[in-house]
Amino acid sequence: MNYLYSQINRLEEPHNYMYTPFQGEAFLQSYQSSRMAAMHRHVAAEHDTEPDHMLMTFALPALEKLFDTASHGSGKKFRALLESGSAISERRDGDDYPDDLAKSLDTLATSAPVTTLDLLHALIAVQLTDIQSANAKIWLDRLIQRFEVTKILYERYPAGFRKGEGVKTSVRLYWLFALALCLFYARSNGLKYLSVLLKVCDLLCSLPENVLRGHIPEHGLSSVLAAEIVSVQLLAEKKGVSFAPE
Amino acid sequence: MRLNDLGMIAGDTSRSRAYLQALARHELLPNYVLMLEQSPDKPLPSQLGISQSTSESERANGVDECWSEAHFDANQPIKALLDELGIAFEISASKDINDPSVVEAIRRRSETTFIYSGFGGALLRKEALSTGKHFLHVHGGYLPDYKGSTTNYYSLIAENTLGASAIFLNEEIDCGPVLLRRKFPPPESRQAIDHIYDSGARAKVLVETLQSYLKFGGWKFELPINTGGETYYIIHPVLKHIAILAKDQGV
Repeated sequence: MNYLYSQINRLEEPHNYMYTPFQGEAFLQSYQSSRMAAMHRHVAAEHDTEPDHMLMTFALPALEKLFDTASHGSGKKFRALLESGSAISERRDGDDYPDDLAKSLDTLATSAPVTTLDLLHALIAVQLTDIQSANAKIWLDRLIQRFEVTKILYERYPAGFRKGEGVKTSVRLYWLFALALCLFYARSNGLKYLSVLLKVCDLLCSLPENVLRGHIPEHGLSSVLAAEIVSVQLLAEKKGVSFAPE
Repeated sequence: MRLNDLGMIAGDTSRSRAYLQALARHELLPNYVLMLEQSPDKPLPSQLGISQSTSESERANGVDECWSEAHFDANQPIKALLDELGIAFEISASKDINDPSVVEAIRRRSETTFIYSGFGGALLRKEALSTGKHFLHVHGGYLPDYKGSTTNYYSLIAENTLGASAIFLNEEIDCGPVLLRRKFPPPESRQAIDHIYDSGARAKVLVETLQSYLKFGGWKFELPINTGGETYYIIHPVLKHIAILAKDQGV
């Protein structure tokens, strides 16, 4: 069985996911096989874009720890998946801590225009620090609402945070969105965040390599896909659903 | 019994078919129905194709009383039933509840409350709400916890239940005052949720809401202030499969 949801370019032809058919356990297996294949795509930027790379190097151990907290051994499973996709990105000497980015979340307001890149950096950073911000869920929910309605992330949102403006095909934004969702789901187990993460990953996996290449840090795609796969496996196991790959 | 103060706005969907058949069974018939029409060659997502409705109807089995309204004939067009029951109806050329012709048709009716069973995704705008009518909608989910779309799959995964909540519509999605709400156990056949059990749960709550209206001689609110909760969006098929295949029924 082919996994249809990432077979065609979802930036050009978004899927509305309405009344999707039931296809049994084979469907879950086709999902996993499709994602595993996508993990081995080489789409890294020649020079890592910052602060994206720095955020990812902080996110990976955070995710590993969160998965271990959810279920013993899951962190190890996550690490093994990363290694299978060659996705090991260690922090480098001189990497900045994301605290300043995290603090910037509280400076955003819907009464003013919002740049999506700044918002996403802040949303990821705040989840990687000890800074507690109730605004993280509020802003993530706003962005999810915009994405779910249009299946698009715009470069910026004018005051009021409704109709977006500017570029809508920035691969970098969709990848950052996926990373923010990985972290939020791993911490909260809120199913709506996993549902959106799956849709964003469908979109990322649907893009040709030449479109992806250069916009995502090294191991970036395989990292968010590994986090998504482990999240789905954990949930499936909890619900007694068989999830063996094809 | 005919409820003279009650009208209905209906697209010919599996949900409307479940509603009308349940209302007929319980003698709670509306006085008038405004049918929202759409192009016959373009079935909307909330409509069943014949083959799909037949196969899903066949899957709706069991004798659990809470699913009493899930045993409806999903293949019976509402026009045929309205004729059979002798209910006055008009057909609107628009499927949009906010279309000026639809709003005008509602405004000129004497009924003060309309059951809303139009096509999915429509939000009542100011013009429709300004008619002064109540729009009685049954949301497929337990409010205020589960707002938005396909919430029954989310609640199946999270707490092994489905829900339905009767509300009066207002300008915000699923935020109107709650008249009555119920939780349901998972049905025997989870594959038939989309068109059979979701409709059956809503029809059950609709019937109970109207029975309460008759009993008390007016509308009672179980939850007058319907704030908080989480807003959900159409569930991803991977999670939908987990909800259907789930074997661990524990919360």
